Amino acid sequence: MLNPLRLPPVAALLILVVMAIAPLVAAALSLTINNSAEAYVPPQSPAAVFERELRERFPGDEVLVAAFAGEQLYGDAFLERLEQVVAVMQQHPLVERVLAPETLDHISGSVDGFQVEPLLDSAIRTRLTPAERRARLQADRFAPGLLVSDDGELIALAVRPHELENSLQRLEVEGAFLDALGQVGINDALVALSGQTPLDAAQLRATLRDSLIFVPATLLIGLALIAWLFRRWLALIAALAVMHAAVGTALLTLVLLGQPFTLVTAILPPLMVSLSVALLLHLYNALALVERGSGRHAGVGAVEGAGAEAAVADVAATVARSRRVERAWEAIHRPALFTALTTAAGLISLSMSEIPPVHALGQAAAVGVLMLYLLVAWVLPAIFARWDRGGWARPGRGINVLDAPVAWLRRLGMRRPLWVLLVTVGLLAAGAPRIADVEVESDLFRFFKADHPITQSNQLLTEKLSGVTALEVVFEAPSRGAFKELEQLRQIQGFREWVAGRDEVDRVTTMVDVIEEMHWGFHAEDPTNRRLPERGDLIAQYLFIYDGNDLWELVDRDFQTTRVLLNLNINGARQINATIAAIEDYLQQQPLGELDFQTAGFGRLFGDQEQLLIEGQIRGLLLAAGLIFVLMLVIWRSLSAALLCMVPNLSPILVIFIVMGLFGIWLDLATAMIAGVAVGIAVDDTIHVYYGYRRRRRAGRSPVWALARTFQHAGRAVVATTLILSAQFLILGTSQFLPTMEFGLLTALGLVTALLFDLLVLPALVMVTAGAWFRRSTAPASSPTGGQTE
Amino acid sequence: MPNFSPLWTSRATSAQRDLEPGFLPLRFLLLGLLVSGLFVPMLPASAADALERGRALAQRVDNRPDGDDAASQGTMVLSEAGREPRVRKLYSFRREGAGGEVANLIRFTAPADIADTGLLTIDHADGSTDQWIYLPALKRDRRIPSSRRGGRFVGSDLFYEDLQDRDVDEDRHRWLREETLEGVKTEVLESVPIDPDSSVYGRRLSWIHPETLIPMRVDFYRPGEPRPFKRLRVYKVERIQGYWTVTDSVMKDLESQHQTRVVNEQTVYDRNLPERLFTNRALQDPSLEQRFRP
Repeated sequence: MLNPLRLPPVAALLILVVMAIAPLVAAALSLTINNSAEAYVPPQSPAAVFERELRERFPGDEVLVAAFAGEQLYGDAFLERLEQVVAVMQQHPLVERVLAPETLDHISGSVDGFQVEPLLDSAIRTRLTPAERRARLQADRFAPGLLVSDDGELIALAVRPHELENSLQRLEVEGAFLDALGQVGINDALVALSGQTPLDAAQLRATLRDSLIFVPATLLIGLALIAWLFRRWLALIAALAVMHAAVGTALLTLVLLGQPFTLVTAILPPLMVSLSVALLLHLYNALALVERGSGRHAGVGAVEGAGAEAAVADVAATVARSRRVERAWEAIHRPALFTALTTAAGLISLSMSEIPPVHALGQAAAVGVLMLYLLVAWVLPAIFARWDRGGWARPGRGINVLDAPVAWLRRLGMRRPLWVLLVTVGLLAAGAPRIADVEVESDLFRFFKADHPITQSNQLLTEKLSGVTALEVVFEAPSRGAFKELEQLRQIQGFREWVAGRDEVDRVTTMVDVIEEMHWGFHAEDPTNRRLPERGDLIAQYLFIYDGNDLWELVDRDFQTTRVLLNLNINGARQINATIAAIEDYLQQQPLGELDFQTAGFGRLFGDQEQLLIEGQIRGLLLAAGLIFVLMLVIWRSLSAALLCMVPNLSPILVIFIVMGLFGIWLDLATAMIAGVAVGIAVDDTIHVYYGYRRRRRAGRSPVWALARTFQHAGRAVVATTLILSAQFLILGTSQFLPTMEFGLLTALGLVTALLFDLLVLPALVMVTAGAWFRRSTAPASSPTGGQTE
Repeated sequence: MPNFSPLWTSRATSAQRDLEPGFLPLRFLLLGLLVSGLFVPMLPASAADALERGRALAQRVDNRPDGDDAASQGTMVLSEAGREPRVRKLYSFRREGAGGEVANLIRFTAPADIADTGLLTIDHADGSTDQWIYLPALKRDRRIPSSRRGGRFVGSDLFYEDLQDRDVDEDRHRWLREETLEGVKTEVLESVPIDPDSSVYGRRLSWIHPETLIPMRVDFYRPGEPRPFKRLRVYKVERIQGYWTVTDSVMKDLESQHQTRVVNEQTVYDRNLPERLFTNRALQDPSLEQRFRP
């Protein structure tokens, strides 16, 4: 039989040290950070494939939008400095183009002239007064809503980066922009900074800040509780090493999966720390109990009884050190394996999500959990056998306060099982309709609180300029030159008129706008000619002589593909999808002939997450339930027992969704992870409780006696573990970043709910069902009234 | 007609493997005045030598014999990766006036929907330029401001500035080195605008063949940027009526990889093109130039 004590202590120590350091260092050196919309879309999805194809022909839609306000906004001093900022940013290697008054094409005409010139560069500026400059910007076809507010109170520019590889590059672009503002001294005039680049930079900062706060916080809470419970330096040091190893392994798995660190996978470090503490508690409990108690308690009792009162002072002294560890190991390694497998199963269910970060989180955390089990069950025993000297402290008195509520709940469940079950079912049934209220919605701006600069910037830009959610409608024709033809351009024009009338659409830009401006310019700016010409050859000639840049961002040079750019004032995936659906419905009803159309851009990629979230959540929950049920079947070798154990683990998921429906919490990127994580962790307690119960039943005890004794021993352990884990997740609830906060609070809710089901509903279920199947499936029991001693 | 050199012929052949057949309208459109210069003595003796030598070279290029007038027929081919090339047919006419004024007329003849579209450019002796564009569908021409140097001429990789005359004294020229380009000895000349506002380019580097005085390659830099963003390559040079003439060249946008090949299919020099051919009336009436087409 395998025995971890056969591992040489020095080798065990070496393994622990290497595992504590190497994966973490390797992950730190190779982990990339990327929170862009593309990172959340399966690379082979149609939208992602089309997006990559589109970007080979047209620039991306990611921008940094900055708006300025002030009394001298149109004066030389400010505009000169703004031009310097544009020049600096144009030179930046990560920047593709800066859309600013001096870089945007302005089409104009006179009695005998026509020109496409910069909207407002230094040469034009010098011949205009500030009032004329303002009027020029406001009168331009393309600037209002993009570079100037309708009331002229804001001037804006948009920095468009090249395709960026990660969030650090976005941070760099934002930093370079703010530096440029600082160098020319107009940072005081900056009133809003938004768009995908600053949004991602803000998410990165929030994610890193949370990691810097909460990883040490959860680690300190775990270590403090271990110190309080066991008062052993070796226990503390080993715990620290195991936590490092678990976090490092999970992060390194992320690297090997080719996935970046995102706001989703940022959950990994605190999650792994919490799971480490949970598993370590069982080993340390066992060691403490073996030392204090008799060998009789070192079995199931060791697992269960953090505070078992059966302290026999002299026994530990007589047990050889390695024998003590061996007995503790014998007590925990099977339930530890079971719980590791079930936790990994819960986590691996996340890999059913097609959203790459959620998918990767599940796999990385599952690998981390298995590493945890290997270290705790197979490496630490040799270390403790060799170097663990001295006595283990008795658990602090504080933990005794847990006895009373545990006993009360257990008695209630056992004495009034039907009532408990009926009330539970009644409550769940009453709350169940609220599950329908759970909205599947993701809004990246909603991740921040209302007073966060990015939220306020977004509001200001949406109110004064236009929404920053970019959506593209791409039209493709079967042959080149199609979009020089009047018929096709009228289709685009018709679509523009229709879509511009929608409330959520702040701004529409099409190639038809450019043609209309050229027609107007060629007719000495006669307003009646600001329209699409009636003649196809004239359109072809306008397009032939067009010498600006902006047209080529709207149509390819073959005039075979054109895109309509929309700025939406909505940010939620579901809202965006509703707009996409409306656009598709409209276009499908139009006589487009051979024209094909597709939606693309940030809005499309982000909107696709809605469906992926729903599908991932349903498939993930089914997989989690299925895997855990199979594992229960393997562990208990009883269909009824496996079914019974599923109840206290699936019900918390219902409760989480009921609470989400009640409080209007969306099912989004952050909350989609909760069910898998919660069920994976919560099932541990069920296994520990039911393991003890079954063992006593197999020893011939009655159901009542077995339940009472099990809860007497296991109650404190499961309560202590849940409280520690909940404390670690609850502290995430203090985050200013909503994904972290909601994940922490709801996971803690799930764990506490699972504990209540274990302490109250599980005994009730056992009592109700015991008569039905225990008599058949186990050895003849003694009188249910008990009277035996264990 | 003799090729410029065997090696160049070889280079042209290799280039043609990648490019559609085409032709160059007029050498002056692209090359004749790309390299010109003004020399300002600088402090170090070697630097001063380089400037003096550079200006002299630029002046020789500017003075290169190219006839009093010329009429050409050619093709402009616009290409980008993965796309079918777009081909335009055109005629072009050039006339040098007695006072140093240079006039150019370009008339497109294909594809059909842009046939007869024309561009008239008058480069005055004082360095100023007038440009008009004619749209046959509107039957009217419109003046294009000379400040629009950076505009892309009919969507090609040629800027309007590339079509304009540029005086030698508008740039500070510096001779950099001798360099063998595709097996041919060239002299490398740097030209930087004295007035940065006078050019869309911050710097140009030209590889000039010392015997024909034709820039075989020109790299174009944006102001303040260390790397060129556009490159002109001359792939074929022929001697026509005693004048060295570029008959195949490619202007390439180094960022987008988009390129414009200009192939000169036929050129006739010194036909005494009349001054009236370079007026707004002639621009609006393609029939006036038809008898002067090669």
